[in-house]
Formats: sequence, C-alpha cells, structure tokens
Amino acid sequence: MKRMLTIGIVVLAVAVVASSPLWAFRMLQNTAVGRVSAGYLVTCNDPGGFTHWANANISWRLNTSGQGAGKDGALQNALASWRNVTSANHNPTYAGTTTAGWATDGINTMLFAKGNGCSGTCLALTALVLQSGQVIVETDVTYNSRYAWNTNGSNIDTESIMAHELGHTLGIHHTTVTGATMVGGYSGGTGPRTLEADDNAALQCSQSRYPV
Amino acid sequence: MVIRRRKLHLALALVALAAAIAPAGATTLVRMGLDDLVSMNESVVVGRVVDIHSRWNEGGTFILTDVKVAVDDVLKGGRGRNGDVTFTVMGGTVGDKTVLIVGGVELEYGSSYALFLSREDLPGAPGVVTVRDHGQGAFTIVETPTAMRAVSQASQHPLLADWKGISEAPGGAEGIELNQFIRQVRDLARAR
Repeated sequence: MKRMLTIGIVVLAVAVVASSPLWAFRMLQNTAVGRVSAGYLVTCNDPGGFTHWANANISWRLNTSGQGAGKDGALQNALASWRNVTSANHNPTYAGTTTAGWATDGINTMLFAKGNGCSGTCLALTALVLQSGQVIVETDVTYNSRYAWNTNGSNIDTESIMAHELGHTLGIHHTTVTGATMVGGYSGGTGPRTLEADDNAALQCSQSRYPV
Repeated sequence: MVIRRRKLHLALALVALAAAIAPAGATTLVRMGLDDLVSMNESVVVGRVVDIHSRWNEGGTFILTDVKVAVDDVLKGGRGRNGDVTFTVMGGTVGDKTVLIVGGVELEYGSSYALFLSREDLPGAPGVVTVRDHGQGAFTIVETPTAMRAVSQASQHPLLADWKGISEAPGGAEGIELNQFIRQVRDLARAR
C-alpha cells in the first residue's frame, strides 16, 4: 500500500513537471459557463483552449476625454509592439479617436475615466467580449483618471501599461519572466514598453493554435 | 493505515487547494491589506452563493451579473443581517456572449466566499452594491484537512506594491484560516 502511494505521488509529480511548458507565459481561458469568470491561467496546449481572436485585423480607438488627450502616440507605439511580433499575423492598428465608452458596442476602446468599475486602487481594467465561448470579438480598457498618466517616461507610464493591457486583449495572461511586458505588477519605468521573447512566444502560441 | 490515509488526503487536499486558487486576475491593481479592505468597504460578509443570474444592463450596453448570497457571518456593516445579500458584478454570460473582466471576481453557484462590498457605479447601474475591489475583494472559502481557509482571489495575481512595499495579497496563496480571518476582520472593523 505504502509503495503504491509513493509511486502514485511520484507519477503525479512527474506529470505536473512534464506538463510545464518551456515558456513561462500563460493564456486566458474563459470558464464562464454557470459562473462569473475572471479568466484562468492556462498553458498554450491546455485541452480547454483559451481566448483568442478569429481575425487578424483589430482596430483600436482612443477616447480623448479625461486624460485621453495626447495619449494617441503611446497607444500607437504599444500597438506597434504587438503588431511587430514575428510569426504572428495579428495586426492591431490605431483607427483614431472616438466618443465610445466602456460598453459592448463593437468598438475596441481605450478610455480614461473615473468609474467604470475601476476606482480606488484599480489603475486599469480590461474587459473581453467573447462570442461562442472563447472567440474575442471586442475589448475595452478603462484607465482610472484619479491617477496621473504620463507619456514622458515618468510614472505612471501610459505606454507601458497600455502594452501590458493590450497583451490581455490578445488573450494573454501573466508570465513570471522578470522584465517581460506581461509580467504582473508594474514597478515603474518604461521597461514594459518593450516586448521580450516570452511575450512574443505568447502571441505566437495564439497564432499557432488559432491561426488568423 | 490511518496515517497513510491522512497523507493521501493531505496530498489530495493540496492538489484541490492548488486548483481552487488557480483562477488569477490580470488588469492592474494596487495591493490592499486586510486593514485597507475593511476600512474602504461598507460591509463584509461570509456566505454561499445561492443564486447567480447574468443580464444585459438597462441600456443593453454591458452584461452584469446579480448574485445572491446566503450569509453565514456578517463581519462588518448591516448588509446580510436578514440572512442574505444581493449584489451586482460586471461580466457574465447571456446567450452565446460573455463579458469577461480580467482580474474580476470569480463566483460560482454553491461556493462560499468572504466578500467585501460597497456601492459603486457600474455601466448602466449607478450606485449598486458590488465587489468594488475585484479579485482583491473576494476570498474563496477552501476546505483543507485541518481547517477552512479564506484564500484571496488575488493571491496569484501580481499586484502593485502598496505604500508598505508589500505586493502579496493577504494570506498569500495558502490563505488565512477562516476563524482567524473572521477574527481579524471583526477586530479591524471594531477598531474603526
């Protein structure tokens, strides 16, 4: 009995280690059936799949109210970072300004506001609109206007947080790789503006599993 | 044999605990300690979800979910003293469309939670009672071989460090033993 128990635990441990991928990134899985879901962390090869776009061209608009004015450069740079990932066809582009808000209206919107369920210690909040389970058809990101959002490299660096949140809008969860854009916990500076290999691998994983 | 069974139960419980805390958030949230959560929220309750229903808001612009919780313990405030509390959170599923709030709360019918509740404006629903602090404001109640534990839904979510330089959610991945959690929250509420 003891030997069987030991073997069982060893097999379980080996299975856990073997299932760990080379990369540290994780994808966002929707488990919303019968519940409110915030998105599970899953590996690229998870049998349940993960949230993803079905089309390559994803246009973004910026609401210039609040602190949105003058943030188009930061948004365009953040979009370019993800657009330039090699071996992934995702093409997120800037489509200009909008008056659209935090709403399911078919417009991918970045906006700065007080409210939208992002107050207090919430800096930014990302919503994914999913069709038929895990196909992303729209996303919006709201930034808490109670904080100062800067574009000159001082904290809070808008482009850094935009690059991070854009990763979520592409179906990517967090990584544990220090210095990567998708690592959780912004500690200041402009480091997250630049994607690292682990970030690129996350989008390439999406491309590989759900080609666009 | 009893010891072996206990070991097996412990191993299974650890696997179950790991699975229970797997949901993690994203988004960008500054870390809140238990003291912050207690002071900045109007009420704190412990209870089980007995009804959960998603719907479009009045303007048809956002999916919201109404959640009813049968309250076991009221730790702060007056909500839940009549036995239940109903609140609304952003996100949910209506038909084949889902709105997923990255880093929001994870709530499931039949499961138990400790919830930090306050009024907040949600899309098309001004001034409703909600879990304002997203994953930080919800602790999943997990049963382990030794005790019930309250595990913050933000425990695996890398939070921004607070003014004390702490970035780990209260209790970390293992959570806080439930009775201790209840005592701490009650003490903090009384101290206010």
